[in-house]
Amino acid sequence: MKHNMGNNRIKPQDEPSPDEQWLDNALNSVPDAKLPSHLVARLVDIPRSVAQSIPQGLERSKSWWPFGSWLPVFGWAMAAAAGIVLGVSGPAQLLSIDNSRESEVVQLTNDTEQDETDEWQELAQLALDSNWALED
Amino acid sequence: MVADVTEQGEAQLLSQVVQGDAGAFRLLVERHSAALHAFVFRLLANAAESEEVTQETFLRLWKNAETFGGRSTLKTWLYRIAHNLAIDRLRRRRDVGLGSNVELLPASSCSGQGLERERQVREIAQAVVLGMAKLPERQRAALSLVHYNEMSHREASEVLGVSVRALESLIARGRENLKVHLSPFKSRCST
Repeated sequence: MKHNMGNNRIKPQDEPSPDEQWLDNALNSVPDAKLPSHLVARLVDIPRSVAQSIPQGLERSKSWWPFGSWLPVFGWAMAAAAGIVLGVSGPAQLLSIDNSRESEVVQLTNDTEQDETDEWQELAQLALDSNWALED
Repeated sequence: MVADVTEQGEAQLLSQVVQGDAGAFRLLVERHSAALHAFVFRLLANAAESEEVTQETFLRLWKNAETFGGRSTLKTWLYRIAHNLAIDRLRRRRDVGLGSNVELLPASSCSGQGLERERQVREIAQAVVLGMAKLPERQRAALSLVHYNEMSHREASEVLGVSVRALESLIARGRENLKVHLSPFKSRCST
């Protein structure tokens, strides 16, 4: 591509001076840099490259996502499923663990109280028996 | 009239690009890439960076075509993007390298015969490249747009974001600076 400045430039009001003409010729002696064919190929390929870059962008999320999923939502689903399967954190357990622990503790206390009551009753009975025995 | 037809055609192509039409994008690449790349090369004088800026310009066209407001022509919009990207590069490296892959074509710059004339033309062309590289960025861009890229003063002023008057001042000062730089060659070729 080579432009002819003499024809394309905005025409001055007066005839250009010899100095100006010489400068125009000097400027015209420099050709345009050629557009490399590999650059043309890259430019034309931009739509395809951009389209491919979308999954590539998501691919990058694999590196920081510990569950190996390319979609975070899917990753969360996998994590929840794994938790349920392993019995670590099922949804029901997660919701009821405090109550179940609390009732378990309460149950143990009742048992203890019951045991202690039984012991006192036995002791009292023994005492009565022994008193009765002494009286006898 | 011809320019209007071209602009209408480009508006149509651009609307197709917005819709994701790669064929329309290809046509715009074929229409603008060579001159745009040459403009960027004149600013940067570096082959690799010129390619990167040209690619980035068209990448922005593809990704942001819908943001083109139509206040200017597509051509001046593209050149403005390229110019801004090139200026960013130049500000990052104040030391301007010269393009070593500039091929020189014969031109009637001065008298002489055969190989001697060719040698003189080559010297002048190299001096012009050197002189352009030494010009302030805006003078260089103004001269390039108007002289080499066939832009009107109004179009070039839109690309550079200055008034037409300011653009004409940039061109005048750029030409004066170049004349000073080329004066040794002028005296030699005039004889």
